[in-house]
Amino acid sequence: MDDLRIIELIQSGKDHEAFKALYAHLPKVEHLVRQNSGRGGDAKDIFQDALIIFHRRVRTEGFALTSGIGTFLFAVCRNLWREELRRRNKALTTWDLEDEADEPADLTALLAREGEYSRAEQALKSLGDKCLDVLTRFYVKHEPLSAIAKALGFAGEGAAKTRKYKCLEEARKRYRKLVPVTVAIPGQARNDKNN
Amino acid sequence: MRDELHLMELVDRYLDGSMNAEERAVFEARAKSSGDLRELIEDQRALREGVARAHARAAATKAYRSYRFGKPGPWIGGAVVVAVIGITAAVLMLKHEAPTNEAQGDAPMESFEELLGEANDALHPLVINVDTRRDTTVLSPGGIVLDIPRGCFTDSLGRPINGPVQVTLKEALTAIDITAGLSTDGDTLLETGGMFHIDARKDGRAVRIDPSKPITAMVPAQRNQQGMMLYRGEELPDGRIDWRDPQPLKKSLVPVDITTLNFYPPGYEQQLAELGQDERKAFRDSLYWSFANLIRSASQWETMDSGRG
Repeated sequence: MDDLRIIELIQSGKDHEAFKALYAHLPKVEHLVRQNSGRGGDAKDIFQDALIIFHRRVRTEGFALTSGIGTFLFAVCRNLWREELRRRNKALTTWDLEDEADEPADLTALLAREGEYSRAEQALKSLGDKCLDVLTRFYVKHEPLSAIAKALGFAGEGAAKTRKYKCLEEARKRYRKLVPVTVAIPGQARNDKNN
Repeated sequence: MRDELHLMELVDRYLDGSMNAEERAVFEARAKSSGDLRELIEDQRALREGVARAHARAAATKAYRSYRFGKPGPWIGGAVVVAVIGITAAVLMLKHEAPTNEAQGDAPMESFEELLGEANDALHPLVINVDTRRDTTVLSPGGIVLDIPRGCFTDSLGRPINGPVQVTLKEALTAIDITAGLSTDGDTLLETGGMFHIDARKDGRAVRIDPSKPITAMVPAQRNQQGMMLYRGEELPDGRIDWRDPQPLKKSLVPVDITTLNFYPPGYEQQLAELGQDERKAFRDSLYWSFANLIRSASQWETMDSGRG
């Protein structure tokens, strides 16, 4: 499947089909990780993070494809794995500076923002499935509150609205308690927050 | 609605871009002079992205399974056949005990290695090469009886698979096995009576179960626990298993008092009735079991004599 078709799929909400096609790039990442102190499961995890980052990038207003999707995903995975190895007090053994030539210019900023969003995701998941379901229906699926109330058994639209904000409020409290985790190089991580 | 909640609603409208120019200008002026509001906007922006991220992660997890187990190949392009079943019970199940709880049906698609997570290393698998041309019954070390009907495995197009299929069963029916690394998730607490997991492959590729020929698993239970249900295990991104879709158990084997059963040969009770000796079942049983061996031997002789004739 060509890159443009994959972008079309994501933009039209057909994430499953798009992600399935994008997993064709996983073996290259598995090779990288296995060559650098990792296992197949590690590769799968960082590749999933890369997919999510790419997914958000595509949904961002003004998105333009400046490199191949495979190149982008590999560059993100390489950075994520390098960061993970740093956490484990190890280093990439097959790291090649020339590899960085194909990295997107805004990758560092992108990964810094993802650190915050990852923290938010963690806080939201800690609330439980019901809250996440309410918020997903509202913010991602854009379902009206009346439909959410009906689907989840709330007394009415008002109850659904209150539940939504209470979930969000609690998520915010937990989000702020979490220690910031960034995947970018220290010192550069937060400079691009407002980009 | 409380002020904070109203403010969060305003932030949502701001982030959605649904404010008109005047509202937006007023809101931005307010944000400019309020650090708390600016912080709220940034937090809410991150949380909204967090929601989208969680949703995308779930889609990516599903897509990974499709990618890994749905690839077309020279043999079969099937999806993995896996069933992970937990049964709630007040006590852990023991083997050799009746009644049995029968689990039956179509299997969800999951990755064998992933679904069991850490427990995968701790639990010893039972690997069976099943001849798909015959019915197969397997008794596991833990006491699970798997009934695998002939021709129950198909490829992704529903075509029957011929030749041997490797079926792997992992079971966690004892406290030691259950705590070996099987962790669960969910809003409510479950008491588990045990779990098992089946994976079936042909030449290393996962296969499907024909819905019309389900595999039946009979799981030993110590006693008939009220409220015991059958759950399907769903792997979460962090590797834990969430138990979902509770279904009532089928109990095909129900213990009964053996003295209430009737094993008499045809005409036995009728003959006793004619002799006026049919009043007490204990007597009928005693008489029958005292002479059953002779009756059976006599029948055999009769049969042999008939054969010679």
